Amino acid sequence: MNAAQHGCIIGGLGSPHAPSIGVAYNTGKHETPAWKPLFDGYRPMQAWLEAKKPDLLIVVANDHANSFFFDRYPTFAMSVAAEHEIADEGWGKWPVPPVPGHSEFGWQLAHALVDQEFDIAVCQEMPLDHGWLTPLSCFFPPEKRWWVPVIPIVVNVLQPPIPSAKRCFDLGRAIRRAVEAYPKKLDVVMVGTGGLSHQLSGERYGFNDTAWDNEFLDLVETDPERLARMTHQQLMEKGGADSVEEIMWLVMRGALSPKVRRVHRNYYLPMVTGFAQVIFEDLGDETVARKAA
Amino acid sequence: MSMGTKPQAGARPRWETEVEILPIQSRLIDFEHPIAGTYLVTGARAQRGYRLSKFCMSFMKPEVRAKWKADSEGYMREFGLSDYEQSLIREQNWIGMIRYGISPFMIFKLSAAFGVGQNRTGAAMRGESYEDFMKTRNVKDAS
Repeated sequence: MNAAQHGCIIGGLGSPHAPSIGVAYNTGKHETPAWKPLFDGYRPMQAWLEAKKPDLLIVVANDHANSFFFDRYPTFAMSVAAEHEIADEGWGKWPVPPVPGHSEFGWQLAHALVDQEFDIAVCQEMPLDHGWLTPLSCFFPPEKRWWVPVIPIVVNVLQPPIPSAKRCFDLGRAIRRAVEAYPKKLDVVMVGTGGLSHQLSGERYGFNDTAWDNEFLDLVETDPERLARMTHQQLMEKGGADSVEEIMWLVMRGALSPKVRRVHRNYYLPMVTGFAQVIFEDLGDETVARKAA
Repeated sequence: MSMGTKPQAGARPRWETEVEILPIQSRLIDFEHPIAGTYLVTGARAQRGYRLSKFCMSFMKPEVRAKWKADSEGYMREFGLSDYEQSLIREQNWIGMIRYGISPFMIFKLSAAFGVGQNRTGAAMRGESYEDFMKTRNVKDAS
């Protein structure tokens, strides 16, 4: 636990964000045989968050045409709002309370990112959709919503041009610098969200590759820079068009120390999307020094 | 293509049905070698799909969902959709919409209004029955 009087990234979580997961959890289906292998994967994450008691989650997800529309679609966006409404995605709002934000650090983060030439769009209002609500619902059971504030970071993965994998990894690094420069105690958990292999459109709907998904999980832990060198074409060929959202896992990974301690990994492919969950604990900056030496 | 352009009777304008988008130079996506069965929402295709996307987006409003339920034909006309766009909707032609330039996340807003789930739209895009598609999945009741 970080006792220092400055910000600190204590770890990173990876989670899918498919709406079916959040709906299954919120309607009590998590003990059914179809869903149990996935929800059992959230128990260690719930326990880890309880034990680490972070002050803030920075959750990287993509909008699904709910907070934004193609009339103006940001490449990167973040919220500084004190609270986030629940989006009505087209079939009514999820029955969960509004999600608290962190305005004070939010503005600091916005300035720090733009200072580092990450020209992110800053939002004072951002209704959240399943991209955030699915992982948050699974991390926090109903009686625990929401004891940690959330800063949502949005990445365009819907309408190319999409930011490169490397740019996402570098965004994570810039977030780390911003957190560490914050002159108050702030234990931060980075969350990267998104499905692994999947494709939700065209004749290739339902494409999956479990072997590639497992390779991705190895690489995101041990050699994320190799993933950061991949093009969208390569990611889409290997994992389906919508697996390009794996670049959001790289924002999370970029914010962590070069070496991490993996304390959890789970994979499940029930229907059309490879679902994966990980917990990476940060090993601090000594690994940066060792690498530079 | 101006938003108000009405398709001529008989001959359908090329821009309505042509799938290919002019190659864009990008080091991240190889537009000269599109992935089979994959239609990215970008360039001319994204622009072509914009009005229909906006129509799908309107279903986030409960009052629109009520209006649709009461008079779907009237709502499509009122929105100013072209005849071709209206036919895509009327026929629940999900793959046609994808080729036209609609993101699947837009389509799910519309298919929900028809009471059609995501995997049913997917099976239809593949040209399969829902039952046949489900046979290819690991777990049948996780949706």
